[in-house]
Amino acid sequence: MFDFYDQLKQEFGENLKKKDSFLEMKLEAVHFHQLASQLKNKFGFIFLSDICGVDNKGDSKKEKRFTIIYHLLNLEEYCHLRISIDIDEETKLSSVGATWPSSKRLELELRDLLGILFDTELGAGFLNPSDYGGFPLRKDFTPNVNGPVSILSTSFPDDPSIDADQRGVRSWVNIGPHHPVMKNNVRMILELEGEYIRRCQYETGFHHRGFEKQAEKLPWPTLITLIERLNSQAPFMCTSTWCHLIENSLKLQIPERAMAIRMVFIELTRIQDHLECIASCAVAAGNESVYFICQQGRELVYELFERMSGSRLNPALNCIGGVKYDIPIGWITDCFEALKKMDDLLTHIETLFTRSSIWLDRNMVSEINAGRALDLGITGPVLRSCGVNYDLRKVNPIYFYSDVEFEIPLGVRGENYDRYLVRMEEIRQSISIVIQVLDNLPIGEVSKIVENQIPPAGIHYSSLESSNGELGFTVVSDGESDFPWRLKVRSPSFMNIIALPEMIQNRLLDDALMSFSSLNINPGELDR
Amino acid sequence: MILKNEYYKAKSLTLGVMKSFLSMSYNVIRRLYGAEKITTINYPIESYLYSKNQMGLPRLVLDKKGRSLCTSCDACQKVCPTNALDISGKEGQEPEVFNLDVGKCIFCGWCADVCADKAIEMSDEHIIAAHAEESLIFSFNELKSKGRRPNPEIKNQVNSEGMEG
Repeated sequence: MFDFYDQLKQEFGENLKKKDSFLEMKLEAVHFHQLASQLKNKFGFIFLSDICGVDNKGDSKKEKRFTIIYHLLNLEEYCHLRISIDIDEETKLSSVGATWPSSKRLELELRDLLGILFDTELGAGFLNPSDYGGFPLRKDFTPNVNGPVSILSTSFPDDPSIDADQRGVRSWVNIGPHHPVMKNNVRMILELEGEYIRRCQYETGFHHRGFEKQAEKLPWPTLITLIERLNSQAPFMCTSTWCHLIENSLKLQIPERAMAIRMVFIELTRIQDHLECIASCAVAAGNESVYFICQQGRELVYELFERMSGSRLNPALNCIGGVKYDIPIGWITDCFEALKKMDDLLTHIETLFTRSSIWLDRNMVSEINAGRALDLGITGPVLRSCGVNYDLRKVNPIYFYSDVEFEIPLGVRGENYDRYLVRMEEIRQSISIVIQVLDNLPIGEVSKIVENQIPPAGIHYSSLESSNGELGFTVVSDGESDFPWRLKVRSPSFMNIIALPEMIQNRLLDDALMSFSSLNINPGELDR
Repeated sequence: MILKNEYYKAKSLTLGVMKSFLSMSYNVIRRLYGAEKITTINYPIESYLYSKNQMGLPRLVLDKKGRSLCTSCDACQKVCPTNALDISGKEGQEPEVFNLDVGKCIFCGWCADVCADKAIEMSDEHIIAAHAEESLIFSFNELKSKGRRPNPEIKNQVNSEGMEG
């Protein structure tokens, strides 16, 4: 790490600053575009994890209108580099899509929501129609409630590689927005030639709640109630990430027992979400019995949640400074019993699915190449199923993750079947983590009273290995006001769905839904 | 840990079918006759045992004389993330208006956490259905009497009606 840091220091000199575990750099827009390929090829920042745009209007300390923050990652050294660029309203930004393909969708988001200009044509947007009349994430945006709004057109342009006769053979099929396999609303539009998918588009935004804009109007302490509702399948992950961010920025040490309780619940949530994913894969394949077995497993976890905090889906358990409730008497015994039942259920699922010839035949499709997955910014079990050993619990351990013993399952081929196997093995590893933590549960209090919950002025970022990838929050605070200046979610679903059209191209129509559900996309998190 | 290569080799079809069939029939028998017999409960005559700190409808805590502990300090109104509470009154006295819009409430429990006088707590009442939006707004007096466990006498009534029906 030191050698690597020295190398970077030599190259960039005074520009580079070290802040906690991050490296920070301030650059000019033109300069960054020139450096992009050097950063990727020479220094190994192959992974662009997020781009966050901030509107500085009304902030007297900033001279220029916008700040764009790029989060780059070197996976080998685990070095997180944050590059912030200040630009004016008229300055045109150059796209870095040639270097990091994952930036394409993030740049579209910048253009549509913040109105940042780009010098190259990025293509059709997916968030706002062109005549929307304003950029919602700007500070001076007033919604035009009564104005006419055209609907985003989702149609395939003519394929130039085929002639008119072949074009006549092709037909379109809509899947969704409502479909049992999709946990909420996403629409897939497929162009078919017979049974084969030739092109795919997806339409998102059915679940858009203006999450990031809403967050700017909620005071810091109550913001956690909104954060909890980001992902309906794994709400505890969201609040844990958020609390970790605030506690980190305030340099607050939470009690050891609270850390252990959080770890237990993070792993229980992971078990629950992986089971949900396997269940929806099973439904897509037409297997009802495994679906019900998975639901039984989820019920076990939900009961544990309910006994702990009183609510099932959104356990309002986390608070800044620890957790709200201590573990009730008898809960640990119940947890062990539930995990034992869970193990039986997993064995049952494995008997039905693992190495079963039907399941193998249907699932050995839709592979993603590891290199391509890194290019597209995919994280989580989908990335690990391609064989990339990247898990935030290992590379950047928080709480007691460095003390517990667990392994990271890695797939070989990157197919649907690998994703299923990786998830099954991760559930087993999670069970082992929960048992290890509960065996050595520290004693003491579970929460600290935090008077001031406003993070100091600046940019803060924190991320956690959520059940479907790296979930991160970028927060810009001015250190005084009751509201966050900007909140950006680095949502794993948003990045993972980019792989979908490539995965299912030239595959059978039957495989489309299974590939979709194996990505474990949660529309609440996807649309925000 | 790289996954074992043998996971990728299919079992023979006969073995697979036999194993699945055995596994399924074992589970069917266990569910029907075994110790883990799953039954539905006869709701609402019986009710599911909820946890102690269930997050149901917020209710007002009363002292021995039947008065509310609320001092109209407005702390809960300020902290409510969805603006579900509407309180007005002189500070130090019982509030004149205390309305809770359950249509907005997300049952997060912040009002109960923030209350210095412990005047609000989360009850176990969660069956809140209404015909109109106005009937989802609970007033001060309604919130005082909400959220008790169902009266055993009423339970018997339902039971007897059910038997007759």
